[in-house]
Amino acid sequence: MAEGEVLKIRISRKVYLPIYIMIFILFVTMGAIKFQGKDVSIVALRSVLIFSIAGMLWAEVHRLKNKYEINDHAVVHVKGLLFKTIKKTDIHALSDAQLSQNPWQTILGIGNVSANAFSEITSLKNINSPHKVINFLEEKMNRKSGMPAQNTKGGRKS
Amino acid sequence: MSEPFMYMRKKKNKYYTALAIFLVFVSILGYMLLTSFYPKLSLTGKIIDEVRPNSTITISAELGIPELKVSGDFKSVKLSGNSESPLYIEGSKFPLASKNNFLVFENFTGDVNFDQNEISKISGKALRVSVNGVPMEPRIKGTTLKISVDNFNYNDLGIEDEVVIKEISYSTSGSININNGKNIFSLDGEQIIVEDFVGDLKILGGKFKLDGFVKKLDINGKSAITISS
Repeated sequence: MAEGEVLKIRISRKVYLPIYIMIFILFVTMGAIKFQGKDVSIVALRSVLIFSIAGMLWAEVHRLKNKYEINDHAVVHVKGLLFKTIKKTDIHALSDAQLSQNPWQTILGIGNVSANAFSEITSLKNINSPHKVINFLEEKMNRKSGMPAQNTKGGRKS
Repeated sequence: MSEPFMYMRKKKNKYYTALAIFLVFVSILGYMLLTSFYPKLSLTGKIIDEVRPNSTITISAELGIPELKVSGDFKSVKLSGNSESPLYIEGSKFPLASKNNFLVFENFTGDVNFDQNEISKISGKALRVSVNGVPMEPRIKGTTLKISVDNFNYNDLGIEDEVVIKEISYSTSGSININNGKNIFSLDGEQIIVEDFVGDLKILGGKFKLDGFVKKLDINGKSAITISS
């Protein structure tokens, strides 16, 4: 990893899989009804379309609302779309990093990475390839503290 | 507010949002399945049932043919005529012979628009269709066939059980029999207004026949008569 490298991360789309599955089920059901030669009422059709469009939009807006960045100096969490809150945690101040995954997240290959600065915690929630991210963060932390880089798996407590 | 309390509140809100989305999904899915497989259970069907007027005056009339649009659920729609207008069933065209066509649509739901010259439009769904005595049914039992006919040059038309007409107002000749012969009116080019008719409708030999119940009847001609329940 070269110095000055910046990692920009957003919430994984896999988190919204239940929404996508619901939309998929609605369309498959509608197709099955049509295949059976029956009619889908106009109210039902409109409801499916509205639910699908609203669901996709909500998922995308929710995803864009959180942006994470790890650079040489800090872990940055930008929250909000129009009204933004930017939280910067200095790499110097980080005491440890932690990776947590529940069974659902393990299946999907996503997880939460926490960068802890004493009582202050910056959480990178539901991100893709969390192992790579925690390694990246650790290397940044080690580089700042002058320690040689370690390749850890599943997090590190210092 | 303390951090654990905020965290708990956030978690609770998240749970309620997920629950609300899931409930909306289940409602849409349920509604779609119910209205598709049990069309009689549809909300619109219920509303139409409630709109059915409470008419109590028995009417049997033989009048001139008005320009009329009727829509609803009918036990049968029968029509005959000499027309080359094609019949569309499920989007497929069925050319009709130019003479003596006899069509029957059983358990028909839809619209029938006609005047004294032609049936300008029939559009809807039927459980069974018969064209010149040849029955046609959907491949899957219990489903319906989409039907449409435009500009059908007809001789006879019969719509049974039960036609609801909110109001007809036109100038006509003929006879009206009220309450099984208690009052009989002969009309000669007089203006009539029939309100809230419920019953059968037939057009036979150029005569428009109504058999059923009305709420109000107005005759304005040589004398003004109003009968209402």
